[in-house]
Amino acid sequence: MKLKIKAQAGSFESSDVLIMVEPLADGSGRRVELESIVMQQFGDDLLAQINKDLDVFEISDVRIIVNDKGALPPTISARLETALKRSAGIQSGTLN
Amino acid sequence: MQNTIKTNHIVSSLLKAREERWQTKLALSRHGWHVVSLQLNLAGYPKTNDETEKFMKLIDGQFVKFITAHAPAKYKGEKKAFIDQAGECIIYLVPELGITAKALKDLTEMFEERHELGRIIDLDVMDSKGKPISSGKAKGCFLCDNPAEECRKTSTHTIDQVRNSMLGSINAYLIEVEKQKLINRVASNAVKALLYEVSLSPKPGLVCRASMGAHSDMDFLTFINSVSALSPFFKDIGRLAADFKSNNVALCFPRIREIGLEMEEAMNKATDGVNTHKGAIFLMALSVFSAIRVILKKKSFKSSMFSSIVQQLTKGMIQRELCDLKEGSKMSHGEACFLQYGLQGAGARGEAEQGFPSIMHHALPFMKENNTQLDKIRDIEMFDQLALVLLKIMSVNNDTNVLFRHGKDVLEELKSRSLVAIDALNNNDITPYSKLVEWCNSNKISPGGSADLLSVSVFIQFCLYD
Repeated sequence: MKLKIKAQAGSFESSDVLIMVEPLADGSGRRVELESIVMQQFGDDLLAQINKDLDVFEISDVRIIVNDKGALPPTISARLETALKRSAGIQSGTLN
Repeated sequence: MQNTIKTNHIVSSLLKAREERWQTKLALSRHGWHVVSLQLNLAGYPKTNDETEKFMKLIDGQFVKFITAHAPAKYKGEKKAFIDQAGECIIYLVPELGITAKALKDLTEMFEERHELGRIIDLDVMDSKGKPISSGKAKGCFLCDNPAEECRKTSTHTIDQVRNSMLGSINAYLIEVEKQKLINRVASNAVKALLYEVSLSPKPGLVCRASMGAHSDMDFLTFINSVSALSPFFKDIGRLAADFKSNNVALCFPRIREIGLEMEEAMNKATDGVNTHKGAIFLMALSVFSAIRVILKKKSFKSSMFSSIVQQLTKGMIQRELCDLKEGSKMSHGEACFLQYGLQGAGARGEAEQGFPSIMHHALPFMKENNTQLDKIRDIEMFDQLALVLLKIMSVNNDTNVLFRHGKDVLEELKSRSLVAIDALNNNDITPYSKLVEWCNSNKISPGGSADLLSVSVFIQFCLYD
């Protein structure tokens, strides 16, 4: 998937996650900035999950800001997918 | 490669709703508002049902009063409510100039912490720049003492477990709130009925606003003092009725009497030992208890069931308490009266054990026939509505206050004079009534038992048309 623009998905509601995606130049790598209310216990799991999802979409150069309010893994994946698709211009979104 | 991650329909509709909700808040915050949102942390799906909607309505009312009391004049009543797949949401818009978002967050936290179901209530604050204000505190799990998010992530409890427990608590909370409202309403009806009774003026032999009637030791203020002293106890009786689990209400009777004795003590203290309401305490205590039992069971007041509960409460009372009396021992007027006159002199006990026949078979049908209206009447209308009812009761009641002090003949004369006064009043002739008042006052005849039954009749009327 080819990212084109900055995009976001999700919310800051409890048990949700707000994810912002920003395309980076080729070769920049993945920069994931993670903040979570359960950072201590689940930070590593979250990071692993995000990387796995990025593998699925074959994305290697991206900046991702994750603000987690206790979302469960399916929610995180869904929000990430939406943010990526919005960034790629293949799904409309509400970023303004 | 499959470039997608499967998400089921419910989850995706929830996620969509949450995102829209978030966008709504962001948009609102841009117009100079701090945005406070109220929603429920209800596990599972669906996010709303009849109970959660009632619960939200209650919490909404509580929170608006809370914010109005704790941050006076800051919240101006600007509010948006909506329901979507993520549940019900109420958004309060607070002008940014009056208060900081941090101060609002502190208040919402205080509200959640103080609330018995605070773990289900989710109050979020977003400042007028669109920035969510976080407390940094983790909410506890509904089922255990761990942080809620930890239990969610590790699936410590199943969603159904958490959901059922939450819905159970919401339901129990709603029931308790309803109970409390009912107790307040019925207790206030009892006080109102006693005040109406004493306020009805003029009355034959009875204390009223302008006259001490047949009495020399009590006046209108003595009654006001007495009713005020009694008023808190009706809620105790109401609580007893609302919390008593068994259907065998007779088991509760000694406890009602215990409160009744406390009431007598309070009355004596308030009146310097003058008996203004002894009979009324007995009848009204039974009435408040029975009314609450009926309304909790039937959702509205039903006279026949009310009467039946009064009977169940007092079944066998005369046999147990009056039939063994021996002459010469120390006894109350009611007891002495029974000893002398038998069942005709059973007084308040007799009325109770039969489920208030003077009220059920006479006062209430009479009120219905006459279309007696007590709802928001003006003072000037009171006499026309209630004097006839009092007379009706006096015309049938074997009032032991009269029987004990004046004997059978006077009681019969009182009854027949009452009937005559009813006929005359119905023809707009007040003379026989005025004569009856004068006759009672000058002969010191005070139909206090009938006055008590009038209070209960009025109480029932209030309960019927609540």
